[in-house]
Amino acid sequence: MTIGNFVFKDFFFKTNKRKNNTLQCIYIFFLSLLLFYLYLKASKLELGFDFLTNEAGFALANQWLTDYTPTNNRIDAYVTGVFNTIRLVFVGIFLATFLGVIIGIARLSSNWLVRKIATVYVEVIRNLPLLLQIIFWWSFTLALPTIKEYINLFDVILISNRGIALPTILFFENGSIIDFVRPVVTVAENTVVQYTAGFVISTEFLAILLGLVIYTASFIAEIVRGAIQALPKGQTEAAQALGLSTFQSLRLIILPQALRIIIPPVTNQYLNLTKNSSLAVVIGYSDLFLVSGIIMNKAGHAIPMFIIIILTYQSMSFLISLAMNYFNKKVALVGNR
Amino acid sequence: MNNMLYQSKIWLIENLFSSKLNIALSIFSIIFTYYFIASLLNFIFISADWKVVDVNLRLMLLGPFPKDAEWRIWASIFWVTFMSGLSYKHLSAFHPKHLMNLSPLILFILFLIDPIKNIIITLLTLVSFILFVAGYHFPYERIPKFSKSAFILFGWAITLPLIVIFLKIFGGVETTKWGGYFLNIMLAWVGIIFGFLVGLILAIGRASSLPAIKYSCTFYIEVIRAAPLVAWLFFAYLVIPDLLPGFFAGKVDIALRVMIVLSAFTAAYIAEIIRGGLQSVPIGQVEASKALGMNTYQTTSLIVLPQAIRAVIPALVSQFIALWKDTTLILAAGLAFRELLGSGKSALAQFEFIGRYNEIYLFIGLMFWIVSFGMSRLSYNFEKDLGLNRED
Repeated sequence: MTIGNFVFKDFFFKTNKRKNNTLQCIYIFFLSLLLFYLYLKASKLELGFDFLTNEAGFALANQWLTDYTPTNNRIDAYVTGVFNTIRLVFVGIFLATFLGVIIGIARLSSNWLVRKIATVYVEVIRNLPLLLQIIFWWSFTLALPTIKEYINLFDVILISNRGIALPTILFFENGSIIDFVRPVVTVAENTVVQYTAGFVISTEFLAILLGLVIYTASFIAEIVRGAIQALPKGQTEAAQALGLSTFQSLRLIILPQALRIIIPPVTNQYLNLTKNSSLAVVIGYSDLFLVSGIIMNKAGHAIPMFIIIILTYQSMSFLISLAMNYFNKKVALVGNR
Repeated sequence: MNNMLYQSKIWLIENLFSSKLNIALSIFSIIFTYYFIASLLNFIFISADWKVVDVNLRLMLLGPFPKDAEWRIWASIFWVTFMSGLSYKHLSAFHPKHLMNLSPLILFILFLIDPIKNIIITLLTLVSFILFVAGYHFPYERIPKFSKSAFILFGWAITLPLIVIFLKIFGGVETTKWGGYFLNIMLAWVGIIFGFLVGLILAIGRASSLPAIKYSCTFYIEVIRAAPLVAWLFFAYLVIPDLLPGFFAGKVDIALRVMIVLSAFTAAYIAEIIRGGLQSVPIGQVEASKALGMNTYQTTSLIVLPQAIRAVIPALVSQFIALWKDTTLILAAGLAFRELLGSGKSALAQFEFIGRYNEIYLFIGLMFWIVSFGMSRLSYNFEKDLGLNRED
């Protein structure tokens, strides 16, 4: 018997089975009345899914792994959005974990200044709205020099307000195993100036990525700090006594043990990051929420679209939890598996 | 004197230059900190043009709120400062030291308001400060039939209804005219109170042994948690008007819809937090209270819930802070009315202030940061008072 059982069962009726059943019947009656009413109201709206096969008719600025054009149907548009979200979440999780672990360790550094900088970072970033940060980074990327006056870093990285261009990596082409193609900006007369070669990261992607990574890292840092502090102090002392360096003791002794405490709350942060990626809608990065917003504006059908959105986010969250649970089992103590 | 020099030398060596790695880190950090602080100070005092904040201050704090109805806001502020003064005396969680920490921020705001130009605002602020002191010295012990904490709890409980009365009485202000920072505060306040109440019910429902109640609560919580808040705000905007009965349709305006969505969304998260708290209460507590002859209602309200909620105060407060930050999301959902961030963006659209986004965003960030940081500090001190363990 759990507390919850007790709280509810004994709250109204003294654990009498018949009374419980009566209560449930009344509850189900009113609930189904409400649901029936909602169904009646909703059935006046469009509930089918066939609007998705119509031509989309709008262009999307960002694409990854898909060949989408406005003549494709709405399913293709939505899939493009889903892929954009997956790319954002994947890169975001990777970078946020990296930055978060570094800041978390820095918060416990023996160096006073490093510790203070990390504390200020966490306290400032964690208490500011994510949306404000994303809009700030967006303004920041838009304030970069125009593409005509682009910044050139050793011909390898080109920076302008159209995005950052990196070298493209080619495998098994031009007769060599691995080959790099330098990014190029083409300046032709009376035409558009644009990147014509290289791997271009758009400003929208950059802004939303910076916002998400910096924000989520501050939460991950707190989790990492808490986990390291929860370890017995003897572990660090024993590592020192064995003559391990700071870095060695972190890598071999502290972090592997802290990982067991870190994983469940960090999974939660990954799910938050996934849901927060929908804020891309403010700066026009074509993620799945922006695309479905356009579809809803153009075609209506809000309820079916919402069902699809919920299912997409839920399945992404499910996949992340599944992966993290697998990882959690891998690092768990043998007896606790 | 020599001793002090020696001590500081020891401190420096121990804390900044103890090993080769630390020396490198320290040098890097010193350069970074110097560069960061120098450019920040340079921005604030030299290169920034604070005129954009000065001109748009009213827009950002109140939005399109009518000028002749400002007394409604001042009445609310007076009540809240009075209640704060009263609680300040009672709760040892507050400490004058914390006000000292806030003084640079207060100075910054005074710097923005320009006290000589806006003499009326300055005077009214002074009045609210006097009310704070009056609340501090209010002789509530002399009022019969009230214990101290009951008096304060009652005062805070009627605060929200009272503010709504202040805003609505004598042909009040329509909710479409609410805006700016004031709107953020109202949305967060309503969301916290109703989110907590509904969340409590949902948590108890989810822990129930009756399958119908348990599974419907679980379904609600999981569906709400599945989609981001922006999506639900969008939903409120597009779908809720179609689902309401005809006689409601005109009355449920956009502000009310946003409040409903914020409360319903927060409730799902708070339910999960409180469920964790319920699970942490040992069953022996219930058995002991039964043995003492308490009835079920007494056991729940006096034994189980206080312990359950006490155990999850940090998580609850972070959820409240998240809600406070999430009030900006009505901008992302493209809703027609403007809170602080939305007002700031519309100020940036004015021709003479194009490109002055750093000033605006710094100001907005500060306004949000004060409240979030204050809430987290408050919860930290509150936990300390309750004797809850917390590392650091």
